[in-house]
Amino acid sequence: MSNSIQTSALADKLSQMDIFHSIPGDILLDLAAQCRIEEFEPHAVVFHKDEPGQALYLILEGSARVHEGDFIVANMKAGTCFGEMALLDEGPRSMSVSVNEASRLARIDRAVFFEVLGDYPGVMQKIVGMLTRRLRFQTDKTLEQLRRREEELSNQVAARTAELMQQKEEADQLRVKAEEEKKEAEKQRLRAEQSERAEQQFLANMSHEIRTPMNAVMGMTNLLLQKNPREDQLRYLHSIRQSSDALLVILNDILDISKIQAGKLELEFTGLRVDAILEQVRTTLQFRAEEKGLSLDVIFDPNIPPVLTGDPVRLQQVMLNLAGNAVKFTEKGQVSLLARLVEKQGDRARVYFEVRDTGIGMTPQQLEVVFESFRQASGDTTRKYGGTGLGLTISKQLVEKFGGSLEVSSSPGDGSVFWFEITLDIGKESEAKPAEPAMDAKDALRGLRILLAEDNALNRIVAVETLEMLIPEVQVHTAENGREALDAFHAHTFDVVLMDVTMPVMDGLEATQAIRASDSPARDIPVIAFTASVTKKEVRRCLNNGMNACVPKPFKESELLQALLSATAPGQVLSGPIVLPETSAPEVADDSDRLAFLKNLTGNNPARIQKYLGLYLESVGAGLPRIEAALAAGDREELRKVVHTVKPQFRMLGMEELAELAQTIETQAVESIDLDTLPENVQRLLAEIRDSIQVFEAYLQSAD
Amino acid sequence: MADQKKKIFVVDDDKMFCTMLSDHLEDQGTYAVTSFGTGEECLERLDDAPDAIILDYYLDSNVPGAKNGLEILQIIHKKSPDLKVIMLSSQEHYGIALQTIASGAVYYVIKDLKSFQEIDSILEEL
Repeated sequence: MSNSIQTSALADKLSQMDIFHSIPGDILLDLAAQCRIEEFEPHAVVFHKDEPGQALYLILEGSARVHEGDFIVANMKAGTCFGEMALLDEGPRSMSVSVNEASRLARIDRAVFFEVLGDYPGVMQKIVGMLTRRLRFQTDKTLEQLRRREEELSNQVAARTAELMQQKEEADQLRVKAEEEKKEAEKQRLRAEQSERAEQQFLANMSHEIRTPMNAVMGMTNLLLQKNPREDQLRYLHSIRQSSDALLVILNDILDISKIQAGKLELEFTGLRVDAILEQVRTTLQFRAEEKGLSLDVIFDPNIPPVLTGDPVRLQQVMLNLAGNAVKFTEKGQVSLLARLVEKQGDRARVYFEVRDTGIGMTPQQLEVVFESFRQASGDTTRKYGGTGLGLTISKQLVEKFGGSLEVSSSPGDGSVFWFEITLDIGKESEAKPAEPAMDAKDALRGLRILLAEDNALNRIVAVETLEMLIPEVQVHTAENGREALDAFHAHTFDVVLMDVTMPVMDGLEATQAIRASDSPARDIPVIAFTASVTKKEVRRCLNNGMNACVPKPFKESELLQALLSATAPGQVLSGPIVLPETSAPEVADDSDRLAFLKNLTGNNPARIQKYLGLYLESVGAGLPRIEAALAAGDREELRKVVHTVKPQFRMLGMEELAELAQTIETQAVESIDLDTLPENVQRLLAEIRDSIQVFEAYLQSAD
Repeated sequence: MADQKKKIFVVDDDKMFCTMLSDHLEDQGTYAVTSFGTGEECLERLDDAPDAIILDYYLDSNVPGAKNGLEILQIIHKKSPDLKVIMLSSQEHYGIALQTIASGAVYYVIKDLKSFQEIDSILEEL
């Protein structure tokens, strides 16, 4: 009874709950009959997911705390219970529910609950709808939370990334900067090297260019000195000679130092006489020493083998430089040159050389830099004593080339001592160069008939007058090129030919070959070459072409005499002042064989040869009529332009001489110098070009 | 494999030199060479990003009014400051060598047969 009262009271309560609204009373009574009322202590209502399992709770009064998995059907007015959500397995883990003092819940079996309400779809719908709304709300909330969390995270990630990016960027910038700095440094190094190289090349070229006019200046000064000048003229001429001598020394120094810096300086190995070298140095400096009232002593150790093997020219250069400095920097007292045998081991001898003076000496600071280029003891020194300051640098390098080391000791006021030791092979007596020709040797040449071929008018005059001065009753016949020389050779009788190598119309090599190949009884006449460059290659080229000896230009009187003496001495093997290369010298490729060069270059690849020849014919062939026209019109600018265009083609196909000729023409045309020989040179160039075209065309035809 | 070849531009109005140098470089198998008769043609292809340009100084023998190598060098250097340019010229102009180096050329090579070896070693260094 009481139960039914309770049931109807409970049904009444249920009818007030939102979800049961509009459910018929008998159903509610039925449902209420199934419910068991339970009471919970305030603040201690806990529905645990694992515990009630199939139970559902209807919160009648107060509120409750629920866990996920529980199904709570709550009276919404009862407080803030979100029991519906507990249906969700994935729902929030716990609900915060404020529990009133009287917290009463109706407990009902879940299966019964759905069975009772199963006939009322509206109710179920209502419950489901509410659950769904709640679910959506919760899901939205969760999603929102997730989204926020994600946003937060992504913000964090973004911030962290940005931070890292910035760090990376900074590191990159540093790295790039370091790389740029490295590159820049490298660039500057390369640039410096380049300009240094260009500078050396420039120095070498310039020095060489200056030597040619210097030759004329010095030669003519000497000639004038022989012609009984007035006293004032004599003074001027001496001044010119001193100045040009000094200039030549500077020039040679610059040439030497640029050669040394370029690593191109090499020693020649030939017979060397130490006594002769010391004597020569003394002879050279004697006058200067006497002028200053200095005594110049030579101390030569007779134990030194008479002939050693080495480069006498370079050794003499070192000794002359050291002794020259000694004389220069000594005001009173003496300068002594000494050579002493240190030891003899088998076929080698170690020799000690020393130059000692009683001059101004040097401080320790000065000693430190004494071997550096362009340095003298002080700027004042240069003003007072002159010189390039290169001499000691060159000497030191030369001594090192000899395998020794140039040493110095000095203190201010006490003079200086320079010394070095070198080991040289002991040579045979016959290897040494013959001594300087005695003055009476000139008589041996008396009445000599000389054919001189030289294209440069100034050099021709210098040579003729020098010969006339040196040799009594000499007869000199001059020719301006190889062709003229050849004609003269056939028309007259000569004892010797002096032949310039580079000449227009016909060069010295060709003329010599023509002499040797002629029927003339004089075809074996000695031919001495005048060459501007006395490299081994050049000397070999002269000898291969039938010449007997070489004399370098500018020539020294003694060298010229020596060459003439050797060449004309009866029954003597010819030899010039320049060392003859070994007779078994390997045959160098003949420059005139134009195709040989190309074959070698391409590894004898016919397709390549044809291609290059085609290009040559195209370019040079087109240039030919333009050169002819420019020559006829006297248009030097056009001439220069065309010659400049064809020049590289010569060089690339190994026709060096032709390239040089083209260069000469270009220079002549642009600088308006030696214009009288310009047409000849151009004619020669044209002839060579025609010849080359003929040869190449013939080759191409045969290849087809 | 083809991609690993260094891209080299050769610019020279001297056809013979241009051809011989290109042949020489191609023969080594490590370079892909493109040759141009004028600097202007080369400038149009700068976007191909060559590894190095070998540039002659005189470029106007065939095309009158063509820009000379120094002008081309300056344009290249402005556009791609890091591009390596090797200048070529015949030997008689000392001033030009300095000028090209000052304008950013990495090397200055005097044109003759020996320059091939020189260019080889330069290209290896780059």
